[in-house]
Amino acid sequence: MRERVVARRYAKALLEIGHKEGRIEEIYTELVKIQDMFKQYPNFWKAVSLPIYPMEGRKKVLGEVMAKAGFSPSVTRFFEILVEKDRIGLLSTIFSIFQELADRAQNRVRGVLFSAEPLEEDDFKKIKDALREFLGKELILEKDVDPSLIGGVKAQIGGIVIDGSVRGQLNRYREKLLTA
Amino acid sequence: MKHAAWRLTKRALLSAVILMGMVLPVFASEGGHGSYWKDYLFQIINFVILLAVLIKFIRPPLSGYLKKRHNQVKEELEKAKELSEAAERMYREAQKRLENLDAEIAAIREQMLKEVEEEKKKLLEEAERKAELMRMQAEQGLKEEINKIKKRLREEVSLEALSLAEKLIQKSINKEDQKRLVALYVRQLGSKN
Repeated sequence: MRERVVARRYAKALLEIGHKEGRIEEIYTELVKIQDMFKQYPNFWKAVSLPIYPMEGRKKVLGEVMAKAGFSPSVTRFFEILVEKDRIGLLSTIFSIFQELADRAQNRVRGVLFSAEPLEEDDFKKIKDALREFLGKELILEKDVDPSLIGGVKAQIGGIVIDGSVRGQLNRYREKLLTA
Repeated sequence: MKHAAWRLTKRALLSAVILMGMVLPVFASEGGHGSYWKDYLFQIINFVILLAVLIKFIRPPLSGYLKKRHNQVKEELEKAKELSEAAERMYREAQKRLENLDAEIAAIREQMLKEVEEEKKKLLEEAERKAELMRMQAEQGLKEEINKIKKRLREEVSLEALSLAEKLIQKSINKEDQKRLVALYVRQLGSKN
């Protein structure tokens, strides 16, 4: 709980930077990118996060790698502070809170659209547009395939589920029959 | 008491003998027919003297004794009377009770019969109530059991039907159906908006 409070503070600070620079989306992309790098190169993660290495060395490695990878100075500085304050371990929480705050600030929601079979791009676009209209918000929608749906699609956006799948239909019938 | 009376009698007799002893020689020394009335008179005088002596000496103790005895007898009589009265009273009470006994027995019998009848009635009512309760419980249990079975059957049939439907859909669903489902989804979203 306390970690989440601390993480929120850092996420808010980063969002303010984004607002000032007018590049929230870019910062978000940079966050995704650096997380991918940490996953892809565990030694890089160890070099910047493990306290057994000297602080200066950790900051140096981080700065050099980020500069070479083309990260913006503000995001690089943010990560240096995280290392200095020994809060780099909170990165995933900071990222999710930043995403949540950024989405809220830009009246945007994120979700996943599940379908029984891979969707054609045209259908996906139609559905996305309909969902955007329905929610009245900007929508960042990912695709996923779930064969257990049998047919149709199911959107999961935040805490909302809009189920148009055959599986959902069957489940609703089942509920109806069992409670009748 | 008897001894005292006997002593008094003895004293009286002794006094009479002594007096007779003193008087009789006087009469004997006189003799002759002409002195018959004289003798007789003397005898009477003697007797009177004897009587006087006797009265003088015997009367007070005898009177005391008799009075005492009289009182004693009177007391005994009173006691006897009281006892007799008590006995009479007891007899009367006993008789009265005997007379009431039948009625008492009849009342007790009636009361007992009444109580038995009431108890019987109460037991019967209780038994009927319990029987009714048991019947209701059994009925309720049966209803619940039937409902459970019905529900289970309905569930089984429903699940079986759905499972069958699912298999049929899985087998028969094609690209066109998928397209239709997507179109339906989009339409429904539009209509909800």
